[in-house]
Amino acid sequence: MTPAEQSLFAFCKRYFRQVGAVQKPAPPTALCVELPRDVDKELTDRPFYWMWVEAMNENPANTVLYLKFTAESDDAGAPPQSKPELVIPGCYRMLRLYASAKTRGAFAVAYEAAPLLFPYAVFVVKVSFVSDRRKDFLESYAIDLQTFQIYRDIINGLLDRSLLDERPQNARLIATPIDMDQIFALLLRCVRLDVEARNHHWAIEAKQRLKLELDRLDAYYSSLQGEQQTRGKNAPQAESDDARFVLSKTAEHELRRAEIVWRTEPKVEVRPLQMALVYLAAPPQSNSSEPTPHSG
Amino acid sequence: MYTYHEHTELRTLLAERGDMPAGKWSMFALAYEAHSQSISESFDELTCLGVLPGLVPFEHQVKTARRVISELHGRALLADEVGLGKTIEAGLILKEYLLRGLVKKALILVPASLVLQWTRELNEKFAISAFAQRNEWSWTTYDILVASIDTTKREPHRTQVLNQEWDLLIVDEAHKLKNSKTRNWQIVNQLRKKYLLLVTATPVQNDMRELYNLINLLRPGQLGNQAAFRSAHVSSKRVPKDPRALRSAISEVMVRNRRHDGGVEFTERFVEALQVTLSPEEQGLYDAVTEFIRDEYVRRRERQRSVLSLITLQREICSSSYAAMCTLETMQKDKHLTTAELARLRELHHRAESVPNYTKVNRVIELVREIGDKVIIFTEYRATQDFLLYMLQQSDIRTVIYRGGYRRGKKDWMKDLFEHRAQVLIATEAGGEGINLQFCNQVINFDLPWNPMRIEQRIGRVHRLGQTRPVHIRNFSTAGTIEEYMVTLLQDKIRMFELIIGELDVILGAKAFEDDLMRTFMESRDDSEVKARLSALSKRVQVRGASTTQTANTTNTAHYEETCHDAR
Repeated sequence: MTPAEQSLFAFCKRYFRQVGAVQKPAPPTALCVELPRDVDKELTDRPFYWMWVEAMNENPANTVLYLKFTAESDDAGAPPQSKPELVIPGCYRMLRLYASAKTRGAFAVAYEAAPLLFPYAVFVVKVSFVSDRRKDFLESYAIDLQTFQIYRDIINGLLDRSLLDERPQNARLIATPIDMDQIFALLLRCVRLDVEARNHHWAIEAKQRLKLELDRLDAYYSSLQGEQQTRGKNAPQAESDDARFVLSKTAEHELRRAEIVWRTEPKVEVRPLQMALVYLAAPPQSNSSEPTPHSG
Repeated sequence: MYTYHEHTELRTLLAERGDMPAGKWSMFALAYEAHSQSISESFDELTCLGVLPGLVPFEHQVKTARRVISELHGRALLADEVGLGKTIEAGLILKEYLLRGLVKKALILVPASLVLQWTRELNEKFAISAFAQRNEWSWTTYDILVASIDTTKREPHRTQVLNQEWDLLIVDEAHKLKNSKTRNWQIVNQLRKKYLLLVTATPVQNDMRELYNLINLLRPGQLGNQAAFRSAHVSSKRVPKDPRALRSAISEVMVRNRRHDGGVEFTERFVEALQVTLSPEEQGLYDAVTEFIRDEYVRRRERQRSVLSLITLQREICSSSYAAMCTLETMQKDKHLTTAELARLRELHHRAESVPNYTKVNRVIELVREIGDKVIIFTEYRATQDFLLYMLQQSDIRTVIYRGGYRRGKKDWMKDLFEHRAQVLIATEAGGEGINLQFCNQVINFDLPWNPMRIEQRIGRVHRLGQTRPVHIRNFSTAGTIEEYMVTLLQDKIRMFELIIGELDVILGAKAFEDDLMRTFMESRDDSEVKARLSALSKRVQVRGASTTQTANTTNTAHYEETCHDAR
């Protein structure tokens, strides 16, 4: 398998293990899994089938997926009831797997294996610069729930720490009251400061383009007023003279203006995507070159 | 400098869970990985290229998609020549916008015959969940919708569609928006859309105003108001004043790739004229009808009456006596006819009915048998189409027909039948517009349209990207008829079948050419005059063609093509 194929294979394997799918024998470049019903619903879009199953109180056998990760992979190992599916980037199955993982992994509680653990709220936030084009940044933050100190770019460090899903035996957790509204407000304030500190040449450019476009448009429509006056009442009527079909020049002008603003105006969109309550023995390490934590 | 938007769905979701962020860390890590795969890390990179299973776009298509997104800001006229894959370019742009979250709702307006083809291609090639519009509820049910422009402009659909905001609107065969006074143009003008792609191989057919109208939909004011456009850019209907200035003005909204730009290999094209000699009865009928038309043409012009039916009849009699028979029957119903005229028409109709054999049709049947592979037969006339269908079926050749009047489901069905079950498809240009038939490489032109753009459309159905075999085109020519002159003119003198598709219009100017032909045939007193006038016409065209290839600054429609080309 190529590195890209291996990476897809590893993701799928981990996903199916996490959701409790039963893994069946398959060649090394394929995965054969029996899906629990809730997972099946997320990975295949067939709401009417499930509606029927539930309405009729049916109990069909679980779906078995046979996913292969190389085109050359042998299909001989596929069970008769499963059609082998080639998994490649962007294929339907991968899109559904990603969507399912995003929903299921929106929240978590995790622990480090240590005797004394301190609570942190960990966030993954998507920041997008949008005009007629778009650029996204995936940012991560940890907020110390005792001191409200904020740490940036911590996710890779945390993923390397092998956190546990269960609280370790004999570990002592430092208890602290958590006000989620306050934590979210703090996060959003911090993200805003970070966004402001970024280079916004893109927004300046978009703003200039917006102005140019609007100026051109306004000049065009004001030139039409002059033209209409010159032509006066002898102007030829449109073939579709029904007023419902013809936009007045004023309405057309307004519409085109609104479209230009809609398309070109620079916008920053901030969307927290994931949140975890993580108990750590020591503060998270930042991956960025500026490790200084923000102070809440 | 920018507006700032915070989206806090996650907070709401957490509140619904009692502020308890329960879940597994390992799934959290997977979700992070999934999010990392779904972001756009750069403004310019085409992220869709990494996630398109089963599609390897050509370089010019990728370049076009990138240019439309990065430089033209999502409002563009995609005007590649026929067969270069404009659909793929539009699909790439749509996919990129979907991946970047810049488009959620998209509407694709196409001729009815192409609704299912577009829906299928978007789903299969781009993994885009596009749906064909079926009823009034479709507009609000689906995010990515493919619909017929004719349906869209009718109530109740029109109101539904205008009540929504569309992130992206794609209009295929956008030359149907060339006239700003039509409802096609008006509905597109009225729609509220963020991005707009107009797709056509022929942004100008007869008049530079057509280009102006298309560009005004994309970017009003780009070419100034009509008066400014005329004074700055128009020398005559088809000739720009200053090609360089026009080129610069349209380069901000239009992309045109041409076949001979290289980078794309097309299979060879073989063209052959097949001459048939009519039986004495058929020749007698042809001569009688032609004589009637010439007499009648002069008389009607003098009385300032319409000559349209005569022109139709003249062209039909070249196609088949069966096609002419229907028009002869209709003409008898004209209340203005004198008794002598009526008698003459009856006599001609009777002669048409009594033709004992059909030389041209019989030769087609022989040829189809010789070819022994899938064949598309093009004709201009429905009567000829019906007649050919009947005759081929009588000869046990599995045949389907394809015409403009069919509902889209039937068209799709016919195409599938042709691909999987039948040997022959008989199509009219109106029915064949935009369909892809690369699985077939044999074309028979049972009759030739006088408009070269339509010939180009015919060939473009099979000689396009995806065609793996050489394409064979056979033009039927009946000795001693106008058709013989036509085939000689188009094939041997103008050598149009050897031209790269797309150059044709440059040299001829589609409408002007058609008008010239019409006048030549109608106004000539006899064959020798027809020959002389056609010879003059072909020389004129040859001179234009030569000047097009030799210099970029001749004063004909080459200016326009030149302009379009350099606008890339």
